[in-house]
Amino acid sequence: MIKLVISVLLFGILYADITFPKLTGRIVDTENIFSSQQEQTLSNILQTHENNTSNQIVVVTLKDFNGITIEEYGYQLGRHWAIGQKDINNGVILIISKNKQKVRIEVGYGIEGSLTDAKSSNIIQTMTPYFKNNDFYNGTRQGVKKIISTINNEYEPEHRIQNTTSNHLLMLLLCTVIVVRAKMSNKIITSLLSGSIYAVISWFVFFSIIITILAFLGFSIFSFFTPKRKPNDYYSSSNFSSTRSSFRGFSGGGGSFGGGGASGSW
Amino acid sequence: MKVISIILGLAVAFAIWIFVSHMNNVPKLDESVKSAWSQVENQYKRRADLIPNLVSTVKGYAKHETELFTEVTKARSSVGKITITPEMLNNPNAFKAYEKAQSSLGGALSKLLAVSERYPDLKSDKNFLTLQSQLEGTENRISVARRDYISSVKKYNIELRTIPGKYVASFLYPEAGIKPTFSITKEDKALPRVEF
Repeated sequence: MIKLVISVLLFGILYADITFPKLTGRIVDTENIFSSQQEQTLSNILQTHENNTSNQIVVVTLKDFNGITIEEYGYQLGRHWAIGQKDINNGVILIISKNKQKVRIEVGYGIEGSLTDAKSSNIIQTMTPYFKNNDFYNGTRQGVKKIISTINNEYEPEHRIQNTTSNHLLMLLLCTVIVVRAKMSNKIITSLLSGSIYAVISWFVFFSIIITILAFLGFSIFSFFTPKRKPNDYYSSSNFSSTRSSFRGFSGGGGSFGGGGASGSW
Repeated sequence: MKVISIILGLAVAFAIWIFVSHMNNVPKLDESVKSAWSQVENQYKRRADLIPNLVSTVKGYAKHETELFTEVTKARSSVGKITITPEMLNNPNAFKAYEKAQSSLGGALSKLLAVSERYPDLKSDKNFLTLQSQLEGTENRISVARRDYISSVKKYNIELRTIPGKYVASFLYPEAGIKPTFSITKEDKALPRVEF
């Protein structure tokens, strides 16, 4: 009986819901230990690094880890945010908790070869003296710079550029649909046209003939029966603006984590 | 009459849809269990590979702990003897033996690290510190891989045990059986870690 209760409890802990902070940028400072100026500087360093190498690095400060260890929290946060590019998993998260006096470098699968556990541990040892003196900015800056110099030669930026060009292509096609639909008056031609444009899009997304044909038919019929909207509607619709802002902002590239890295305390 | 045939037609279509949507679940989930398993095995292997270096480093400072060294080496060689092929994952006894061997190695290793507390020179040895951080990292990866394995087996077993996956599986994959998984121990919760 006791065994059962314990296993149920452990099970509950193991699969308990964990809450994660929102990925608001490259610096997610929930503890408010950086000034906005410092945040900007760090963020710029990280952005330049991503532009050069496609590696995604995020710094996050947390008050606590939902009652689990920093190691357990870290990899799940990495998977939740999907830091790093898809398939190459080149993400790093630097987790700092001033409150818990803990720091961890969480390393994505694809970087474990260059940013090894031992190297991560070394980097953390150079950061903790700063943290001891409450100098979080310089400690973090040191750590970030060391992480960058360790993984600088690992990946080429192509991974990211490919990603954005295909996104731009989609945007372009969508805009064409919108403009064409707004201007054209013949309903059959318009719907056939938008159907074929959606078909092209679905070809790029799914690479499957069946889905492409289905998309063509589906969207042609769909646009034939939907009333034509004025162009203004598209710009005011929240859907459009939200896609736009996510193109400009920062988001995880689809990378995954497996517990690599090192932790430390001060 | 017409209404009944429409309802019957819909029911058949619904049944077919359920069947088709569950048709590939068992092999798909089986593959994800296998890949989760290979992660587990990789990480355990990585830990075993660290041991010779770790033992020789500790030996340099703590010659008298011969008993401990033999325990670690013994546990390591017993771990080396048990390999699990993906087909053996369905065998609860083989799985248990594997888990037992690995956990006795884990116990011996944490004892070895605990002993280092008594040797200040060892504790400040650079080589030892590196090995220690590698071992900690590997232990952490092991627990992540174990948890991933547990959750992938859970998905697989649920598919085999619940309706409608149960019926589809018994029809298409009669040989598929419930897979054993790691017992959720304290090790899956807390990592063995040595505080300075």
